Amino acid sequence: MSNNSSILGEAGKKTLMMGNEAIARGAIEAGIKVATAYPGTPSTEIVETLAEVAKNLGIHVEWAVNEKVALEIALGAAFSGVRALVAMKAPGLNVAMDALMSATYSGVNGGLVIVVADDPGPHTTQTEQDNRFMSKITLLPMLEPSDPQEAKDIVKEAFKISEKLQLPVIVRTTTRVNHTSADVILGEIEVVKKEPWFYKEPMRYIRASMAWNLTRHKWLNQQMEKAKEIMENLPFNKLEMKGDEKVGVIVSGVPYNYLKEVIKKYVVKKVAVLKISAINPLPEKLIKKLLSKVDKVLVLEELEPYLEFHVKSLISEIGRNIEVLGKFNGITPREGEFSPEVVRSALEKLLNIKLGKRFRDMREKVLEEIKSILPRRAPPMCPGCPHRATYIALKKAIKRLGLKLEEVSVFGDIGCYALSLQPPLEAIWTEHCMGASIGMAAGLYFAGSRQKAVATIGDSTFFHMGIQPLIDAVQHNANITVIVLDNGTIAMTGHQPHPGSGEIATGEKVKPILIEDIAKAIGVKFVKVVDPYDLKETTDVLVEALKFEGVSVVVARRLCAILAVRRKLTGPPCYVDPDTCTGCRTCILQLGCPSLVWEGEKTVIDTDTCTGCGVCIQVCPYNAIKMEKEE
Amino acid sequence: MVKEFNLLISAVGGQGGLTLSRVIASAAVKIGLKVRVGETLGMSQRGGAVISFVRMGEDVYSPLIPEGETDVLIGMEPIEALRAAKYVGPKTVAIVNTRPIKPVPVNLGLEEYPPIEKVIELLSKLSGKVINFDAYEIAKHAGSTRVVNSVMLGAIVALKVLPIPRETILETLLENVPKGTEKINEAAFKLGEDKIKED
Repeated sequence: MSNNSSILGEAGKKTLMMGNEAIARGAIEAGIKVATAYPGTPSTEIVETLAEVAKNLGIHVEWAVNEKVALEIALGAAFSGVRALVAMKAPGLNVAMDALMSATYSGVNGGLVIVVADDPGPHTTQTEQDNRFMSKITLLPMLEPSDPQEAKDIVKEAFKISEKLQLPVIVRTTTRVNHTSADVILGEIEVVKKEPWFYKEPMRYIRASMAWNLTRHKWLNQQMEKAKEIMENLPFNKLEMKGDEKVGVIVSGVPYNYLKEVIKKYVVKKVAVLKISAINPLPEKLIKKLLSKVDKVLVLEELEPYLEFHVKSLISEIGRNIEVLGKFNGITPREGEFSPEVVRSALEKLLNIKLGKRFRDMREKVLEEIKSILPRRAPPMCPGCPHRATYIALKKAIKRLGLKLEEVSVFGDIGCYALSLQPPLEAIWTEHCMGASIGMAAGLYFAGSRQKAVATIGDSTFFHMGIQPLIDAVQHNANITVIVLDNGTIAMTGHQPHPGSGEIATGEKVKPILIEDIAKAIGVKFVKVVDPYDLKETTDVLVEALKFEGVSVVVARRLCAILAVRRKLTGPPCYVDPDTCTGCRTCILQLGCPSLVWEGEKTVIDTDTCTGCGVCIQVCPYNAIKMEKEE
Repeated sequence: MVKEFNLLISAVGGQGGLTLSRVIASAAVKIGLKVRVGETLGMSQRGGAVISFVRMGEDVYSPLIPEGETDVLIGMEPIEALRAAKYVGPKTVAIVNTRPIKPVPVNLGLEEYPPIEKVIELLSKLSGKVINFDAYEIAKHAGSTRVVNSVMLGAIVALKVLPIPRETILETLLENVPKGTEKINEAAFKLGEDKIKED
């Protein structure tokens, strides 16, 4: 992560920046007053970076409770004439959509930029949702950078466009922009002096009048007509064409880098290239300029054929016979992210030649052999993770009630605890979207299934979108158990604070909002708080909760093990007494803790990583695991 | 002028692979090189496999290294070095820490950890040169098992294959490690250098 000095560095300085830091810098250069987000990979570092310098800059930066609230806060600020930024991961836009749709009719006064980070791969996202299409639903301007430098510059430009058109502008990125680091040249930081003031204009801001809505819809379309001109002349679109090329490439986003490199490496000549950063409205004149010359065009874009659709319709407008290579004829994949190899092979098809040598058979055989012997290394639950203990206790509770594991459905939610899907826990049955576990558990009960329904949801996920379904479940008296896995932080995205953490993004301490207080206020009759490291107590309480008729809520509270290590709150590591260990492997087979290492005959504990949580001590049938005495 | 130099760091989350990529990339920017670092940060601190691509030079645009085009591979753990195999080729100098970190499925008996000799043998078939040693033991000598990354960095510098001067790298390393750990990291760096020089 960058330190304060580099993010606030002087104009003209060349600095190594991650794409997300560059986006933050772009917002700083644009003189923003408010920045909000709910953390979500790969977008998190944008607001994280801004939070670090919020006090220096005198701006408001916060982790909002969810993306919809984040957008509404930024919108309120932009109504008053100041500039605001909101960032989110791809599915975050789904959460914020309701707020965004009405914002398109209201428009803004200060620039409002919405950064949406899509995730071709996918690396860390539940779907490969291509949010470029959201620009067509919202009718809003959308821009897309291809590298960190452009990300910074495009964000800055987006604020200007937003104010010019009085519309929110979406900047769509992908993981390979957000998480790529590069040398970035810093620009001037604008000093924006504006007295925030919200002027009453009912027709703009009230959507209760259908006549007004119709008027504003027309206004929006007029603004987007004006946007065409801006997008046509956007300096980030680049047409590289001499005029005698017979083939061309139309490309956007990260694949542009792969293309440039392949062209340079293999000295490819006579290919016209149009790189597009204006995603909506598209620069149609520029595209037609290329299409008027070439006979064959390759469209390079990750995920869906967004550009390809448009290119095909423009071809029919100009009435030339141009062959299009892209998704529809399978030249490039619709799933997963691109690589230099994907682009090279697509370019070979465009040019009908081979670029460079291909690997020999021997190499392919070795790679095959490697693949066959290589063990997987999916991220496990961390050593000392309290969620592991909670799921172990749940399994024990189910057994104690004489039930089989398949007779208790365990709905999961978004967060670290979803890693419990792996062996040996294999705990959760679902993981959909923020807060879904509670509603789905209630749904199973209302369907009349004789299975027990348990929802397991993280603390921040509960605040994000778990409270409303809990209210619903209480109102309709669902017979479900809700376990809130409370580790005091938004752990998965790098430990941002949430309303229960007692802290805000900029580090100030605030009064924590307690999950059990919310549950009680909603009217849940069974509310208990347990320490998951105490397996027996947790199991006892879960047995009670599962037996309870109606909604029961158990808050399993224990600080995230990573934070506990950082704050030096962990105990001494555990160790296995080799004379007592029988090699039954119960500890490993039940817990799958990465610190429990199987050495062929006995378990050995890796003291480098063991946090001394002591959960393995409680599952060892022979009392062979002990805790080192503190010195 | 450097046209294209590709360095790949393959590690287990928590080993300091990301710090290493940050150090090398920052050092490259210091001497005026164009830099691209591609990495997957999603769950990097959680013991998953983490690959970082550090690319330098005028002809570099992509954050990903083309297959087979790696100049230097730093394999912080044996099977993680092997996981990067498709990026390795005849020009690659690979340096591998032989200390295994067993993934959970291996401890559970669901998968097998291959013998280290097999790992090195397969990597040698693809890579121009493979150097391997137990960097964990060396880090211990330096005073902490958490500085394996600095040992590996020292070793790479001693091989004189990076387009960045030693002093710039060492200085950048010490700027990027947690305060108070500078001495131990420097010691680890120098022990890493010594390891290569004595062999």
